[in-house]
Amino acid sequence: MLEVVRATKWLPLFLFLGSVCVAVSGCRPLPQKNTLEELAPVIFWSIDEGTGGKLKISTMVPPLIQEPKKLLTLQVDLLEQGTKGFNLRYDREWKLGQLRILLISESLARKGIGSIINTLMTNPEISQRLFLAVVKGDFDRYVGSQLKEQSQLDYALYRMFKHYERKNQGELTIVNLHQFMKKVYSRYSDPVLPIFQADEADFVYEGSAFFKRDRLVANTDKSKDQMFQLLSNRHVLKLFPIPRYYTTIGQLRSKVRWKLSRDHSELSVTVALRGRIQEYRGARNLYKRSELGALKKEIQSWLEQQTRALLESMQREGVDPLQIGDLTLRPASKPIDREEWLQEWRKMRLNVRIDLNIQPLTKVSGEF
Amino acid sequence: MTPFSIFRRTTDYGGLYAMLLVNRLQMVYFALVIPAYLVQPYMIWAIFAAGVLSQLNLWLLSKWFASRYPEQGRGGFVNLFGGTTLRFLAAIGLVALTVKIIVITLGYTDIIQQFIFPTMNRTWLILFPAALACFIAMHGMESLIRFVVIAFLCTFWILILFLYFWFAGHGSIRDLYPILPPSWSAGDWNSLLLLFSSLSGPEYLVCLAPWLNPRRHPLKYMSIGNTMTILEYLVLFATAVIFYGPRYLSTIRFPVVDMTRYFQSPIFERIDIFVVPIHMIYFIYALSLFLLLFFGGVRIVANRANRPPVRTAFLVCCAIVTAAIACADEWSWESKVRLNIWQDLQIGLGAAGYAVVPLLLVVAIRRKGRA
Repeated sequence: MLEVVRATKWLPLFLFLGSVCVAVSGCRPLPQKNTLEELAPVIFWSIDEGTGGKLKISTMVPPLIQEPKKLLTLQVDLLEQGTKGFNLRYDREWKLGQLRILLISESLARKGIGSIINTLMTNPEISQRLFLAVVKGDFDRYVGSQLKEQSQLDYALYRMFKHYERKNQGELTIVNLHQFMKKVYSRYSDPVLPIFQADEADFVYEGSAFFKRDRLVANTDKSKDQMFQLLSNRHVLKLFPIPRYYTTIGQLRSKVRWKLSRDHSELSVTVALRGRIQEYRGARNLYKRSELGALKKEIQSWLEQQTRALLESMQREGVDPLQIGDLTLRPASKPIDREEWLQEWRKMRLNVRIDLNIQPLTKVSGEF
Repeated sequence: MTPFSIFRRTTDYGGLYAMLLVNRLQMVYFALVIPAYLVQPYMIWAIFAAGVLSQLNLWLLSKWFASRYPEQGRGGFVNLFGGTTLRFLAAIGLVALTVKIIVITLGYTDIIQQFIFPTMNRTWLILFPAALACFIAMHGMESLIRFVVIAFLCTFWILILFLYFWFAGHGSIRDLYPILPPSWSAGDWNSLLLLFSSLSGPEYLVCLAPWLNPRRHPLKYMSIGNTMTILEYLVLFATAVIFYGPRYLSTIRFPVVDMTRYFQSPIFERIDIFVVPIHMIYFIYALSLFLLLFFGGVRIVANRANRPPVRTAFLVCCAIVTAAIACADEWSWESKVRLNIWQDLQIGLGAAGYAVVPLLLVVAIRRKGRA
């Protein structure tokens, strides 16, 4: 009895010493061990289609240490096979905890990326804020040519994504893993990803890529993407050059009002735009009110046309990246199913109105 | 040599402790997984409904707390039911308690394994919390009741983290549509049962009655505790629906923990590894309380309640419970059905226990009063 009493009195000490013993001895419950010098926490992965239905994965190592960098590439059947393959090939152990960017080639995205995204999604090591992007062209060649000139290329890319994500900078579409997945599983809407063009010298933002569930079906060009930025949830553009009318509109903000008719046959969208004329190289005299009004009208009808074309292209492809389907939801009625919504969306009449309010930065008078 | 006195009673603990106990016991484990079972936005009303039912039970419970029986401890129960019936009831209670201990421990073990130690041997993950809970329980019932304040303060603030999602532009009000149920299916009734079962726990306050003394306003304090729980459930569920949307939410195993993965900090990467142990605080608290109750129950069943408690016996009890958890884990947890048998059993037993215990006590008091 006495023995037991003594033992329990010292129980906290025993527990503590026991944990220490377990922790320091070889008999540890954790088979993982991390030593900083032996790790390679990679920042980006780029996934392309390989030969014979395989995946071609590449990344840049070493990630942060001052050593000459190189590009590693592997052809694998499974994504995690890549992780293992890199471990076998490279002296440091590969860690996914710092993975920040996933670049997916366009051809792969057109076939569907659901399985890849799901693998990353369910891995607790990988952050839900992983940036996703689609790349046209050969990204590996771009990295290969840039390695010497820009050794922190991977980190710089991450900073770029981060910059445009934060505070709605409103120039690029930026989407992370969670946002993509939420849209994939959502009732009506479809995900969007940024699409970049890569070649030997450049890595350029092209526009937004529209997905149908997990499959890429269409993408905007640079000009239409600006309208998409104004319609989607960012609603802001710092610069909107319109070469056709020799004008650049700056500091543009939009306020979008969607209205779906009761029988879902007509969609009205009113976009109130407010900005300033930051540059004009045309022949009009913008000090004069009537001429300014004429320019405004021209741009306004052009914008209406652009918006209509953008929405019509979405209807043609049967995608809904702007979450228009959510407008059919009512507080107390049963939601219609996706197929029904797509049918309605394809046939919907569009009614686009733009209220353009742009001011030059000069004084405007009636007669000049 | 200090005498072993885990069931000593020197002073009364008032309504505040009852309130916090009600709240924390209702939050254990099921609160972390329940959004994935409710899924549809209109289940918000089910949370309210379960809350009202729970409130009804607390009202019955408060009737019993207001009577003269609780302060007599075991003697009060013997008066009400008679010795043999009490031993029989305690035996049933022990079974329900064991199932509850097994389900919550293995549930948390799953969470730790998924998020923190994926390769760790599961036996360690069961052994460490059990040893810790045993150690805490050895400090006795009084210290444990006081400890609920710390457990509450350490864990309540996590809820505030989730409010971030309401302001981060993750969804719109339309994510909560349809807010009124367009139809009501059998699955929805199941969810309601699950909710009611996860709100169970306050019935164990019956066993703490000699220490707790909320005689002045028993209902008031317990209602505040219950209301806090309902609010927490509401915030967790609404946030999960807005963050994931219904279809996505139904695919996720531990939504509340998974949501914390979205937070980002400049200092370290894995916020979830930090938040999961904080959720563990009230799990450990509940586990140590249940260990004490288990010991008390065993003493009643074995007819030893009149003798002073023996330390060795308590340690043996802890060992038996730990062994039961380990056995359940080894033989039936990892099988194909995984979790379902035990969880379903707990849902049924929890709901039944929460519904029956207060009713039984009130009926017994009435009968006694009439006789």
